[in-house]
Amino acid sequence: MKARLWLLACIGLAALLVPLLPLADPAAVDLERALQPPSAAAWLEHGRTLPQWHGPLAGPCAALRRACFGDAQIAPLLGTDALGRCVLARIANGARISLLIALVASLASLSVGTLWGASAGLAGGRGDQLLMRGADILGALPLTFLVIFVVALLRSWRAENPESSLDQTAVLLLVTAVVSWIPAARMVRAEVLSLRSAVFVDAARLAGATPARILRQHILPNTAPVAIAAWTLTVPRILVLESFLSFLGLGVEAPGVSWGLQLRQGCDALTAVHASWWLIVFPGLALALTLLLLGSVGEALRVRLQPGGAA
Amino acid sequence: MSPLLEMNGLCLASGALPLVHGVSLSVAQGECLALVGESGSGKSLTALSILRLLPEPEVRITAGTIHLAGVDVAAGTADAACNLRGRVAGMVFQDPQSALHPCVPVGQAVAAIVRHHLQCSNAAARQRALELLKEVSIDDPARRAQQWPHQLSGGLRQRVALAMALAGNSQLLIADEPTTALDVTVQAQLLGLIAHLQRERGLAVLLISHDFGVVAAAADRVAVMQAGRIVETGSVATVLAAPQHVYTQTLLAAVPRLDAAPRSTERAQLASARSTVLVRTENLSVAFNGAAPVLQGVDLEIRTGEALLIVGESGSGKSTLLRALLALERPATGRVLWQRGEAGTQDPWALPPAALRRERAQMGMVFQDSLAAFDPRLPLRASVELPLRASGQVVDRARVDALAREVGLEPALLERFPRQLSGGQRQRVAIARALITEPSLLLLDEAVAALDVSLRAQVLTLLLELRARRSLTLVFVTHDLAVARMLADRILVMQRGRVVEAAPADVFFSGPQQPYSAELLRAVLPPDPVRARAVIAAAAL
Amino acid sequence: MQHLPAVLLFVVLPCVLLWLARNAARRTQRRAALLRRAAWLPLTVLCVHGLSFLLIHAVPGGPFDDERPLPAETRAGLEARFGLDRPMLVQWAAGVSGMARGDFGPSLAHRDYSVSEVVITALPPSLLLGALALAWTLLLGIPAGVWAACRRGKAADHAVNAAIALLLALPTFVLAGLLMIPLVFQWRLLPAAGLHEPAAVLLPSLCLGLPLAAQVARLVRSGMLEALRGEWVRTLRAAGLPERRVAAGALRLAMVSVVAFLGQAAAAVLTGSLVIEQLFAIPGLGAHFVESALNRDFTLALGVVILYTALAYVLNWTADLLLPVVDPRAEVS
Repeated sequence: MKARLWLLACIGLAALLVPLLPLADPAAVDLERALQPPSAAAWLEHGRTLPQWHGPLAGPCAALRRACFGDAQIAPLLGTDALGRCVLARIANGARISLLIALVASLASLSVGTLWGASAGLAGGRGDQLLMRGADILGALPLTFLVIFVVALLRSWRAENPESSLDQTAVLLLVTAVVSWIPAARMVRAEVLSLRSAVFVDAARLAGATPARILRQHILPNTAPVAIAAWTLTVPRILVLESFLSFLGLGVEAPGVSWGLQLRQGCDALTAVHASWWLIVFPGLALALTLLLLGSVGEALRVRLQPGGAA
Repeated sequence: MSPLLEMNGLCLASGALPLVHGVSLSVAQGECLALVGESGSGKSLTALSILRLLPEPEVRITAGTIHLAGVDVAAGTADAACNLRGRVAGMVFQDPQSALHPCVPVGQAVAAIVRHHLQCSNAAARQRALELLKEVSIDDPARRAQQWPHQLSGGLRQRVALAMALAGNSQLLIADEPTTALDVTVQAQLLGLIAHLQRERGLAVLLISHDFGVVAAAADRVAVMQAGRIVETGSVATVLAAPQHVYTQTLLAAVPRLDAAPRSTERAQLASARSTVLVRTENLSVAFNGAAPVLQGVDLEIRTGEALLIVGESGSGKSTLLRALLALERPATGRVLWQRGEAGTQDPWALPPAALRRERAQMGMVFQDSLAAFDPRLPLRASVELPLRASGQVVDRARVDALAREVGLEPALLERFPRQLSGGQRQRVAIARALITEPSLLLLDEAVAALDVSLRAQVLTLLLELRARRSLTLVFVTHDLAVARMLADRILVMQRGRVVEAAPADVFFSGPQQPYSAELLRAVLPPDPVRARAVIAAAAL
Repeated sequence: MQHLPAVLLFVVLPCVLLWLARNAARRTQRRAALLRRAAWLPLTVLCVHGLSFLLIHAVPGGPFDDERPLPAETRAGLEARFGLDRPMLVQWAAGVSGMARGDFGPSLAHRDYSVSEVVITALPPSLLLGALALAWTLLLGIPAGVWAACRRGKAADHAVNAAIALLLALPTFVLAGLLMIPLVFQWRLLPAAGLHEPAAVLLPSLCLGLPLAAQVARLVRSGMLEALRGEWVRTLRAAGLPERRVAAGALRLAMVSVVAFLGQAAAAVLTGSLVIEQLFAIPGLGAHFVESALNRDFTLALGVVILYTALAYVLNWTADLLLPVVDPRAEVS
């Protein structure tokens, strides 16, 4: 458990610190060295253009990197793609986008789901039925198809309004969050419902505790583990959805990098002449490893947080 | 002729921890031996080892022999014992709820075992299965055979389990608490059936039980087990009438009896105080989600200082009645009325929330499942103090500790979490929590049902003491008439959501008016072989 | 021929569903619940249609806004042909009545074909792929789960568990890529694309089915282990039934969760077919859908979304219908 958590933290930290690491520019095209296989012949190389960053911290980051590493950058150890871009750098940069979307969207969907499920569970009776019927109807729809439909429409709308602030990442965040809150809502509702009729809650009611106190002291603390478990299950789901959409060409777009997009480009580059396996194996491994870690950490967390497990 | 089962010096251990130390016993053809003991005494493990059904390798046989029809089961592998299962000995377990595969019609389940043992055709196996179901006194076996376990009552399911145990023509029946989960009337019928099979088939029976009434009714000989050892063996009449070992004596003394003189020392003085009505119901009905009502037209009064015992079989609505009295269930029709000092009676559902909370502090409640009754995330002290905090009183540590001592609990135990305490300890904490606001009314829902005999006696004694010391009004829900006898001033008998009889305890126990209450009373098994046998003989008719 | 999808969707399907409901549901209460859910199908379809219609019209860009602007009269002519110049409400009503007849209008991208025609030609490969994938799911998943459960704690169990964890972490398209490299490009055992030979459907269906098979294996394994903890196991053992029969009983119980999972599995196959059909160049519904979404062919996209909505609904419904067959207790609720 500890080792897995550390590994996950390392992946997250690496994604966070990408601007400081001596990595190549993920967008630097160099057709002369297209489709180079992985090699460990040279670890570092010098004199290539450094990646450009935007945003408030871009200047200090660039300065810090220059101070630490000069103009050195890691050679394409994991090979290069069809445009001669470093696969390693692209994986690292892809992690930033993919994990950011997964994190933010899962938190958004968790708050919606928890709120929805908790209101349904607390309301009970007709309110509960109304809220959960809504979730049921949404859950019965082929959401991925609707998401693709909506993304396609939004892309079309963005093409008409290029100056709009709604960029592709925001669209992805919004759409994935909107469709992924239902399982969390169901889990939280079930827990709240069972807690509401728990004997110890009856005991608290008989003790004269106000509804607010019961909520604060009994229901919320006992629901928290379920919410955390729901969250750890949502993150991998969103990660898959994002890479799925990017793979189809409906997610992160070409100048950007994401694992799904990278895999797509890898598959496109597959031909009978050039079986460039490294374009698929490495991003695929990055994605699979992250999903594996998230899944097993989530499962372990769920087991550990079960009531009484800690006591 | 050597006995069918002969166990010699059996030792069981889990890892390095010994569980059973040198148990020896024997059961002859046509004989019933009862193995009696409290939970944790190792009686179930001993029974499981006979068919090598132990959770091996976690629990192993470390020494001893078990000769079953001449074969030493303990010596061979568990697989070797497989051949004896069902053919020589069959087994029935406690919980009829989960004892049958939920997705197989019961006739098919029995037929599968018949076919395995008799190697006969499908049709012949089905035919034999129907005969077996008839033999265990299931009416209309052809229809029942088509049904799934969840469509059958607990008693019927236990009969099916019995048919499965006998399907291979086994000569020994090992029955592990076969009637513990059943209602008293059903229990008497099932024990009658076992006695009948014992006579007709010459069946040997090894009966595992904690209940001396069951033992008295069914057993020829008794072996008393304590902490993995057999402390006393003998014929049932001798052991029950004149126990030799101290442990047996304590156990027997702790058994509540119907014929014992009620502890009426305090009753006389309390009877005079029986003036004001604390809680009253008028034509109370409760129904869940449009289903058939769980309670129908209940009228009752609870008076200051009395002990009202609500008795009934499972599903009679007695727990729901308790919840309705506390305004935890909203009445469908009729109403509950609470006495509020000078203000007269009041419907709790008409009270403003704050007043309702204040009123509830005048009532204490103890639930059946002591584990579920406490928030698993809070140390017990926080749960006990909650009523004080909720009513805005100052939390006085010394007072809580004093109360803990009063219910026979070390105050240090309050710092622990619910799971870390035993059931008896937790039930004491629950009583402490119910009493912390010094209520005048204490309601208990099957509060001792989950406890062992000696613990049960301790808790009941504690209740009697508390009642005298604090002049409490008690409302106690139970299925056990012997417990009722011990506590009650007044008895309320419930059946299918209705009150069938309400009478003062002395009147009730000397001769109930209603046929249903009489039936209940008749089904109670006293720890006396002659009378207990009479009970099951009557029930088997 | 043109009305075939409509007839299928609105006449044959409800009849089949009603027949199934009558036969599978023995209790009136459950039958009523199932029928009620069947009645929700047209409503759901209508909702999805309405929502999609609104979305399409909320987006200002029309289907004829390419990079190169069209002459005004050409554009007006096109809009008149597709009925885009009428008021919105009229368009919506026309859309609904068209949908009821199975007519979703002409495809905007393949301008010579109607949406129905495109769907009918694309459906068979998709159905073949999906059915095969579900077959793999059950044929691989159940034995693997049983094997692992029966060898609990041994090497076989650990191996199956590791495979399950790995397959669950690999999204369909990664798995497809990883399998394609050796099988198709290195050793050339299987064709890369299309459906021109029987072997061609092997790899795509396997890629779709394997992650689901892992899921099923996990359900079967944990379901059996859970079932083996039940009291009835002791009853059967004590009655002398061999371990093989006890395991069969446990599998019977584990199948309850597998059947409950089937609806979800079918939905996952539908979703997965989007990338798989594109990757392997299979001219199925999924490939057409993605293409239409990328090409702003909204009429085709709408038609496919409606079809998939109905399909997902029916599959879920069927899984629910099957549940009491494996679990008699489910009939009560």
